Amino acid sequence: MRPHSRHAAWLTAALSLWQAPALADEFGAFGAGARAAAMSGAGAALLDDSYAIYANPSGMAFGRPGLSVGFSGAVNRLTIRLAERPAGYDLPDLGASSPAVPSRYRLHPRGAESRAPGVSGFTVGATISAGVDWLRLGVLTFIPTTGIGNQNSFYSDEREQYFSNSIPQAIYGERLSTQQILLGSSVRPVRWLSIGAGLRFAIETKTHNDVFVPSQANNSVQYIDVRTENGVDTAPVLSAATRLLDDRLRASFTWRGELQQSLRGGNTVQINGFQGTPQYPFTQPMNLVSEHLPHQLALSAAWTQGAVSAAVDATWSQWSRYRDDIDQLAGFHDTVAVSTGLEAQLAPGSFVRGGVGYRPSPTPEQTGRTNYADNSTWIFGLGLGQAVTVAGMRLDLAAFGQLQAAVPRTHTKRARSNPPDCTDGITALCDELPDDTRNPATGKPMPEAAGLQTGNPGFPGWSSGGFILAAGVQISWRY
Amino acid sequence: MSRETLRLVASPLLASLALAACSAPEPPAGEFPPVSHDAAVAEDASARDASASAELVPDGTWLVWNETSTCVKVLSTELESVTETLLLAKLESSPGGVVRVTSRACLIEQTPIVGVATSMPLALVETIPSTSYVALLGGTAPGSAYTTQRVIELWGLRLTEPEIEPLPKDASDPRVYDQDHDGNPGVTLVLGDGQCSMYVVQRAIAEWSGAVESATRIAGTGSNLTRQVVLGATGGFCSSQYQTRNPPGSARFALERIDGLHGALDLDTNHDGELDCAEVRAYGTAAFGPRAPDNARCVAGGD
Repeated sequence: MRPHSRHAAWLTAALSLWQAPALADEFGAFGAGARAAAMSGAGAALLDDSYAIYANPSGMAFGRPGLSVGFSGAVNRLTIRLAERPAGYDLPDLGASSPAVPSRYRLHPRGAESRAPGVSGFTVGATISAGVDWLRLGVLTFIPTTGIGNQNSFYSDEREQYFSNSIPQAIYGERLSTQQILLGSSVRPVRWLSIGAGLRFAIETKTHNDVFVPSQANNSVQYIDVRTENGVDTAPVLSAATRLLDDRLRASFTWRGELQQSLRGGNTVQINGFQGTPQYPFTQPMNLVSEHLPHQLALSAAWTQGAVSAAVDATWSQWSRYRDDIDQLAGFHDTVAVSTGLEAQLAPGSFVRGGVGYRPSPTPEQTGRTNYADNSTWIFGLGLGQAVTVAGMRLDLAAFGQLQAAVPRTHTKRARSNPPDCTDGITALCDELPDDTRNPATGKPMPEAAGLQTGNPGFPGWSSGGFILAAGVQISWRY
Repeated sequence: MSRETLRLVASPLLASLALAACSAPEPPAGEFPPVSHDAAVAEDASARDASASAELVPDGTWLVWNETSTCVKVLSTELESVTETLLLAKLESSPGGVVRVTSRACLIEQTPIVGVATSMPLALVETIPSTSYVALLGGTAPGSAYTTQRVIELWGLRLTEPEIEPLPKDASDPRVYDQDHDGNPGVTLVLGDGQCSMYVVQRAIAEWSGAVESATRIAGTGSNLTRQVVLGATGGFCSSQYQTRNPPGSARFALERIDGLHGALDLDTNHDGELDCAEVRAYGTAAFGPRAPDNARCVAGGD
């Protein structure tokens, strides 16, 4: 490569920091593309098509340009089973004297079991060379069939009793159905080395609404001005890949920055009757995080011997900075996930692939106030690839099946002789009715307030387990 | 694809299917045995319902009694002080259960800590600005809910954002004023038997919720948060900025109608047709059953 070409390569890599990927949790969960998914997420160092944009953008510069379309779906059978509530811990019903909304008025009964929703969607990816052999630009998208821009939130503690009254999956539930748009570029300054760079970005919504309630007697009537702005949160991605020993040894290193999809802002509320008081108007702040992708460092190495390639990948994820749906630090710990995969060419253009991986859960045991549901997971993949020629064009067909088996887990709330009241900063299972609560009508102590009263959906304990079964097909054209 | 290859790739899949065949395991039984509560409250409620049948009319003059708790840290131990406040209040009702309350303080008494009481001179109490706030009344029958918005009371300072603005830390802050007109910043509190005086500013935020108990009484509980800043002192332990906090769920209140209407007490003892703070102070707090301090309430809970 001539010196000025090399400079151009570095410049292109630097400029590409201002492009590149968006949300990637679907790809992070199952692997990007049928090849990686069949190998349980392993083989980032082998990827050289548009699906490399997620796992190893630098890999694109080793491959031919091409176009790829796929469809994948997952049946989510991750299940949470709630232990039966013992008698005597409900919020009491004392009619108008009830100091808190009695348990029997919950909009949704606390079910014995809850399940996470499935996910399905289309992937479309492409890479181009722009006529330059050492340069690749690429795009990869995942479009969930459930819609684009979905934002869901849950409380992780006793407050969820007023809404779903259940325990959702903290990571592999609704959050899987997030659209992804990944842009990336890579350059190969020398034959054995490639570098890639880009940006991930997520939807960042800011909202400020002005609300006026004209009558206390009928709060269902409100006048509202809505102000919503959609922007993007961005995170850098950097990667490097090498191929040595006549391309038999391949390795890659990728750093993905932290990314959040969020909704922040609030309401300013005026209520007729409050004028002339400090509460006219009052504000209702809102901080929701519907997706949090942690900093990740991913290492991949692959060895090709004849018709067989073997790969091993390790990914460190900084879950300790994880913000939950209401923007609170969740207390997770960092993890290292490992996956291995094999790819064998049975005949020219005909491949079989398989892999095994293990993804540890970042969530600690939930003995206190919160109910973050997540399991360590074994990942088993299997897939086939077949090249066909149609109208003179070579097309690569691929299919995969993947099973993610959750390691069963139980959580038991820790009993305390004197449970603390539910206030900010309390992490233990807490009492929603302080023991010294007095009956507002009589002024006398309230026997029902003695001891623990809680509507926490996770009380007195729960278990989680199950599996996710995913499958997909893909067609690619390389030119 | 050979049979051996198929066997190689199918084995882990079959193993994983076996592992995942079960859903989540049986949930744990937990560490919490069933408990039962006696029916004392239900009896209380039925007794109350039987004794009170008349409906409440909010409009008129009422006496408000508040009881709040403050934990003061002294030599690494937290001790409780209970504050009793009497206020004279006018209630005006609007459609939809909205009640506008306008009140002014008449008496503030605080229990001593380690034998030293803080007295609130009348010059202080009677210069506290009157407070207006809105309450919601769920109905007029006994048992109907009564809830106030946050009630904010400022001593010795004027704030643009009374609820959230940081409190001044210096007497020269333009937001501080000499409320009790004694030539010192803020308000003057006297400790003990005139042992020393402290010049303070204070913000108290409270919320109350309860129920109609009878045609002449509303009662319930509340939460309060009081922050006090010492701007100056004559010396001694008045110069110390003690750490204080308000334990949650420890506040109580009652509203007693006192204008003689609808079967209420008539505290207009001088028969001038007006109720004033002197008449309220003469009535006192004893009828509300104030409680003695209990330092156990200041034992912190939680992890």
